[in-house]
Amino acid sequence: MQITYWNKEVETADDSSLKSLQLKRFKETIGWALQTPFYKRRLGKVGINSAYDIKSLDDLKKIPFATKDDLRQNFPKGLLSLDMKDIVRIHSSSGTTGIPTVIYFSREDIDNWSDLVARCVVTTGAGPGDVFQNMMTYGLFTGGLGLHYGAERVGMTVIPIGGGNTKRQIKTMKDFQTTVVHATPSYLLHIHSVLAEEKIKIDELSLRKAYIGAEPHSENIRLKIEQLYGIDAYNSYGLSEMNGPGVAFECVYKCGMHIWEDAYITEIIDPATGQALPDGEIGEVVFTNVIRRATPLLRYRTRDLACIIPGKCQCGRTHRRLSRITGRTDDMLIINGVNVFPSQIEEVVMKIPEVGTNYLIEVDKVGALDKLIVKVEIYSKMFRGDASQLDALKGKIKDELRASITISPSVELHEPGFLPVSEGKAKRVIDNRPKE
Amino acid sequence: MAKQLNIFVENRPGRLEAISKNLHASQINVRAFTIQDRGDYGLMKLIVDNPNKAYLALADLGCACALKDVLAIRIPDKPGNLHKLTMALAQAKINILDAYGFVIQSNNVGVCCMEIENLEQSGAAEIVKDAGFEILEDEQLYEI
Amino acid sequence: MKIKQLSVFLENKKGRLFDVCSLLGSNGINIRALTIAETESFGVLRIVVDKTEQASKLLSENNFTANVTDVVAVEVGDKPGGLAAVLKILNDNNVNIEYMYGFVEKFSENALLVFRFEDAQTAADILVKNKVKVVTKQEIEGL
Repeated sequence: MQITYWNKEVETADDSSLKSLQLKRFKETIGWALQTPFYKRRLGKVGINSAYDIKSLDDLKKIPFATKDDLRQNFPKGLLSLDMKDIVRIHSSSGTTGIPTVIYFSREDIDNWSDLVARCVVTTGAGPGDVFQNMMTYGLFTGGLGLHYGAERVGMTVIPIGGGNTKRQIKTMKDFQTTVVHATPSYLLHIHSVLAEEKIKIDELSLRKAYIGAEPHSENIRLKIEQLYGIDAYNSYGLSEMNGPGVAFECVYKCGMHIWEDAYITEIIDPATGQALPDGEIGEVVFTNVIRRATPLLRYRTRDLACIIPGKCQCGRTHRRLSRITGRTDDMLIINGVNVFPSQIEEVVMKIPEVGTNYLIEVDKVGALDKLIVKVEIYSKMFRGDASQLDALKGKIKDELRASITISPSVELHEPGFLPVSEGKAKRVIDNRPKE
Repeated sequence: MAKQLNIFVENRPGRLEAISKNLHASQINVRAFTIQDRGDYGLMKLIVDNPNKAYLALADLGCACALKDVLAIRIPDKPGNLHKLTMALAQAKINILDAYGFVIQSNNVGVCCMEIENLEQSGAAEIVKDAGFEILEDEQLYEI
Repeated sequence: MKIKQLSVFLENKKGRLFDVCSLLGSNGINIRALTIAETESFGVLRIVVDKTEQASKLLSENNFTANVTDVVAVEVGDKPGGLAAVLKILNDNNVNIEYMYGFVEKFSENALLVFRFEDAQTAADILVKNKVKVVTKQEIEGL
């Protein structure tokens, strides 16, 4: 197989060079972190008051883990290390309740991130001459812009189409003979079913590669996509707290995603005890970002469960590979690539006076896509007898939910006492999607 | 103004049975009813002989129900009368939210129950009377 | 174990509640527990009285609409935690409460809690089994 590198020296660096680079960047990052109110306090408490206090990578273990709660509680500027005038980009994601989290980027941070994504693109064997259709959402969500900047840097022809409007996606793939796409696996499967409806054959397209991510999926799903389209599909992993896409990506051998260890110091821990786990054992993935100045984040607990795949990859890259994400340590749902916390839904529906005390969240698979249904019992005393009141209530619930979780669920109204009541701890989420 | 009982019912078998059982236990008689299927739920509308008592009986078991003012119109059972009524309302731009009708005595009399938007302000009662129809007051309706 | 409750329809007119209470009071009928549920257009008064049949007749003769239902009345010591203990027993036995209300009797140290259950008999049996003092019909009448 043909192997092309974007930064060959870094990608094939031996262990001691890599560790040396990590240490250098770690020290720099500590210096930046100490410029933030949050880390000044936190690092001070463990005796780190300057970058000189870092002697080795082992010092990382002195630092307490960071969580999504830390980001929420320190919103908006608790983790900002620079002046706002030095910030050229802000990305934000919704938190478990109404308070969002924010990541700031300086010009250099964007540059570093784009370079990493460019590395990912080249790792899959794509390059100038490829036509890239970016089907991930643009906006505050990092999926769209993240890949966009990296793909442009490599020199692919980028079509910033964003998500949705399947018929237009198909027409665009045909008109411009797209060779590479970036989308959630479920969306690609959905597009395939629409191709059949539109009577467009696969050989009318020029698709070669797909980058799939943002939602958990099995090897079977990847193989299905490859088989249906006749392409190679590469797994992609990222999270906004670590910039966005580009944290880990598969190479042409497609056997695990290379984590760019010159940018992310990675630990796998036992979620209950915080102890480090060896390669090959599944645990919670923890990252320390050492290439982002504006928003330093150290030992961030992702709540994703995965393992480091032991052994060397045939491609010659020395950066270790991350397995598929096998689950979460919390109750977060992923609906068509969008993160949704049940607590966000609860917060919205319980605030509406016409809603009673019982609700249920159901997730189904309809065709290739996920469907979110929020079922609520109405509050009997508030019922005035009109269908119009109930329609307005449904509309209100939908609007408020959409504002909070960014996707539009279906809403069902039920008679008080008719939603299942679980024994013991309330089971609020029923996920009917098959575990492939 | 005559009262109709509107009940929010879960869309599954047995609700109508449960409600009629409950009403029967409180010695309440149903004079007319209709059910609208709204997908995830249904809206049941009943004319009973004692709406207030029916409300008490149903609310006691946690039913979501409400009493709605309705216009109960007595229509002599002859061809053309329904059109005469609806024409009078249409000309006055009265918005009918919901309606159902039934014959009480063949060739003699029928009743039409209507939910009117903003019933009091709309003046619908006067318009119906002016068109020559009788409006049934509470007791008359419940004793049909 | 079950006792009777009267629910009375209150038109949204001034003084309706007063009318009901004075009607009962002037006829020697004692209210043991009371609660009111309100909607935009009317209210529902729920009462436990010592002479239910008499009260029901009186109300209907005076143009009030009333309905009789079975409820369960429970006596707990009038101190913090009394209600919580009863609720725990019901919850542990998966008994669903439609609604409830309480009343403190000034002649005793106990509080009276009235519960409406879908199945009053079963709920009453569970409470008795768990050593909760369930008030009998005779006690309500004689209190």
